[in-house]
Amino acid sequence: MTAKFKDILGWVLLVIGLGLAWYGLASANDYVFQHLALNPNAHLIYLPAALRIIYPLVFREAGVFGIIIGSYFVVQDRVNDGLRLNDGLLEIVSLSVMSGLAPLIGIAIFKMLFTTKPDLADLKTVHFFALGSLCAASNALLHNLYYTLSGHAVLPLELASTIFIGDVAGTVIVLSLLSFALTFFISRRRV
Amino acid sequence: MTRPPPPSFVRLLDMLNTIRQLSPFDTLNADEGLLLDALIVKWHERDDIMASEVMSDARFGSQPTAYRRIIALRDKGLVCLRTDSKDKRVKFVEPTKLARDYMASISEGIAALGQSPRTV
Repeated sequence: MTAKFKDILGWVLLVIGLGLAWYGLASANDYVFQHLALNPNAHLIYLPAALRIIYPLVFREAGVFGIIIGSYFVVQDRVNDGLRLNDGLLEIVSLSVMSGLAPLIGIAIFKMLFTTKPDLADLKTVHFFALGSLCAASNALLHNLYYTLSGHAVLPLELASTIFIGDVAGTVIVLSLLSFALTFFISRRRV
Repeated sequence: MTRPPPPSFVRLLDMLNTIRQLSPFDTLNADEGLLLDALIVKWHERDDIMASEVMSDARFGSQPTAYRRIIALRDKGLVCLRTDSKDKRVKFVEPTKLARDYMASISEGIAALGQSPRTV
């Protein structure tokens, strides 16, 4: 087995793993916060939004493809649960790709506004706040644009604000829990 | 010549470290813990430990690095810096109540280990 083949296989496995993690968290979110959903694609709390920031920054292209693949299965599940789509597979793929592309837009704007190291060693709280807001805004706008252009009957402002609030809230919750877990379960010393 | 981007595991570790620092709960990293341990030993020997003395100790890295760690301990409420009344350039590193409580908890823990086991 050549080294290049091993690299490609490793990359594919990484994408699959990231996609599965996204799918698992999104499915759990859909189940736990189903009463906070405006529609199946807009939740007032959306936990995977934190992964939408982490995946592209840490894993780059693999992270983006992980989001797309995970989102594909999430949307497929929602269709199986009764979500109506106009164009079936095309719409599922479109929604999935949008979910993966949205953070790229947010991160691109973030890099225009802030200068950070490529190894992410100098990220601060304000950077996470900016990343969360920008990725949430780009996701909300992209989804809103898509639904409007594809002829779905939506309330643009309500949809965009629900997605934005959901992404920001999900990011805050996940990052807080992760920070708490890293502090208390992997901490070297507490005083 | 542009440097290649850092590998994913480096970015992941850095991001996890940054996320950990988001926590409002103060904890010590290994270097700060090492410095605090050394200060505790020194405080048992004498009270007037100068900051310059700590900074010149090679165990704690370069002088700026050692100073940053002293400041980190101060920001976490474990030490305070007292300026010498005779020479304002001299600063003494002194323990705070939090540090004294921490030392007392260590003593109690060691004393508890030394107690004879209870019979059942």
